Amino acid sequence: MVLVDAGDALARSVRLDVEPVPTQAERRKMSFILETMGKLGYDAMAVGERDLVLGVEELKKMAAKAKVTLLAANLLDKGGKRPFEQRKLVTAGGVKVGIFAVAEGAELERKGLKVLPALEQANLQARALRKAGADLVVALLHQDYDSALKTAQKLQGVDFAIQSHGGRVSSTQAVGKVVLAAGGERGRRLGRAEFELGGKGPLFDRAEAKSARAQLGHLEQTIGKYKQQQQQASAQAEKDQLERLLKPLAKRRQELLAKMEAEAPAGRNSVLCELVPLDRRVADDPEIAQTAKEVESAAR
Amino acid sequence: MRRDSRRFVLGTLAVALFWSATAAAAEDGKKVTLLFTGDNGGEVAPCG
Repeated sequence: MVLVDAGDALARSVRLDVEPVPTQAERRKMSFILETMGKLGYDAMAVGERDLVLGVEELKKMAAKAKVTLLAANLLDKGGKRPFEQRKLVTAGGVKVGIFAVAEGAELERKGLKVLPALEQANLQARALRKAGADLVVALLHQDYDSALKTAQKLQGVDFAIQSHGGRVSSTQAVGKVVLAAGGERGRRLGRAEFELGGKGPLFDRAEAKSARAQLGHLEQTIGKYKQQQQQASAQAEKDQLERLLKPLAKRRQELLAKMEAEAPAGRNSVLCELVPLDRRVADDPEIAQTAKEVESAAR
Repeated sequence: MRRDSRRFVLGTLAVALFWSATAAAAEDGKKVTLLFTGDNGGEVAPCG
């Protein structure tokens, strides 16, 4: 199992630094989040604007202490060096997974960072990871949704991308040769992607077939209901009206059946991605919850 | 909202990760599970 964060994990505002200096309690909260991420075993985290409110050096110190790898391949410091790791290769269950991140946002430049073109750097990272033997390449696109779509369209050598920035929640979709998912929304969801590899070509999105199966069940119930009403109707006008309703439903049924038939073809890599709500069905870890309560109360 | 009805994202995340780790135990060289988060925005305790 591999665990990553696509950025903007630590602070609500990107402008904490231009307001009064962050309080000790706010610093403690950021540190607590990073330390918990370290304890939970995060393999890497993209650097977003909201992670830089205390500055590059402070973030790096906190992450080193928490043992969380910070990724940003397209950011340079004033000296022209990369302050964060460009990429990481981890092995899970015998699969080599390559991870890299690119970031965009006006606040990054205000922090004294130079932002190199995201797409160009992303493709360089993917190439390097493939060369190092990655079976699966994951891009953390810390960009707004529209920019991430444009980047994803032209990515080469990337299998799966996660967009995070701006809090927009979108559905998982195939874009160019990549399957693109949304990172999250204020801690309300956990993304889970199950890959089946060893085949060829861009990832096949198994979720489409799964969703079609669920929709088909509802649709067939509705069609059955209308057909029964049609048989029982005595007036021809009513029969005709129900026929008009049934026609598009039958067409939709054929479309869903076609999607279902498109189960991952043999020899093709595939992914099933879902977003797990972290709601009341998931219990709190009591120890973490207690510390979170204290940290949050202090930061108010 | 009652104070004790709040959820603690890092605490629920910990439990969700434990479940996922258990479910992913059968990874075998062709299968791998990726778990991901993003845009947390400094939350340790979202409402709800």
